[in-house]
Amino acid sequence: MSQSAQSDTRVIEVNALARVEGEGALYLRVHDGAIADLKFRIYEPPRFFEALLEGRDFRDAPDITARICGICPMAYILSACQAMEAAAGVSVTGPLRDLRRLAYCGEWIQSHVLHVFLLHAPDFLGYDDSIQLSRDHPEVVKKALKLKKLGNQVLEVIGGRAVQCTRSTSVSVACTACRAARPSRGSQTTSNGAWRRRSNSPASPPAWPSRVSMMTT
Amino acid sequence: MPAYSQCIECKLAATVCVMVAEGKPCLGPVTQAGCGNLCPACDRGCFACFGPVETPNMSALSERLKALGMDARSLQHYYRLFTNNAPAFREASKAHESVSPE
Repeated sequence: MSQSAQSDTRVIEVNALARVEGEGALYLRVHDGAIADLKFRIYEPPRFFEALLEGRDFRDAPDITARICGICPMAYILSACQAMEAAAGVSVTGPLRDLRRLAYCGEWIQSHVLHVFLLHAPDFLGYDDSIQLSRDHPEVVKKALKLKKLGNQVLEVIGGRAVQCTRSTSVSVACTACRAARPSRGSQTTSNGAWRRRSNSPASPPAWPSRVSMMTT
Repeated sequence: MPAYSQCIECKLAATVCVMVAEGKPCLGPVTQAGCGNLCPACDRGCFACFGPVETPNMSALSERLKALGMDARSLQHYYRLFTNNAPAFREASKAHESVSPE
């Protein structure tokens, strides 16, 4: 952080914010006690996940985009699901939407607890990190870790694991989207959205849905 | 690290085979065990996070997946996910590369 104090203008410039995930910078100019200029800059380079998805089966998208972030993968899993469902003209309602919402809340809890207690709190209270903080305030750090664990447990129950959830019931492109993409296929879906071979014709294989061509600009 | 494939983890955990019972594609037969039987237990096929097992029978699995309805291009992508550059997967993917998708 560099500060230049003049008679009535103060500039705060942070070129690398250490307490956010990814790359960010802050520029703040204060004139007579009021903000004259404020710039929050995200300079993280493009990741090119669109190119990774191009030409692939549309159901691969959530698993791949999940790897954008190890702290908030659910955001990318559900965004990919919704994008594919939107492309197929499908909207998810009812219990499945509720499950997704709950999973997102679980992620929100674990991610924000991490942010508030383990990244920000030590700064505000004058400690180098949460390990130092735990020396003087062990009960606060224990409570934070317990809260984070609760969020993780919500993800484990709904998504199969805390990070990079995998359970197809809740975190895959809805079965109705597959059906919309290829209505004439010789398969049916189960109540949880999984593809099953038609029981009265075991010899007929499940048809493979058409690939989605991702548009990149 | 166990010296067997994901299939054995399914058997040990009494997880019903998603490929045999439900016709879902699964990379379990050729994938190194160790994840704790995660995806099949969640009612979906393994997607090979742990990479290929030591002696994977790629051609046998490819034939089975074709019988389930996967075309060459689907197979090419199927072997090309997170551990795509492991030799067994790289070669299996490449083997289905030249075939025209339609």
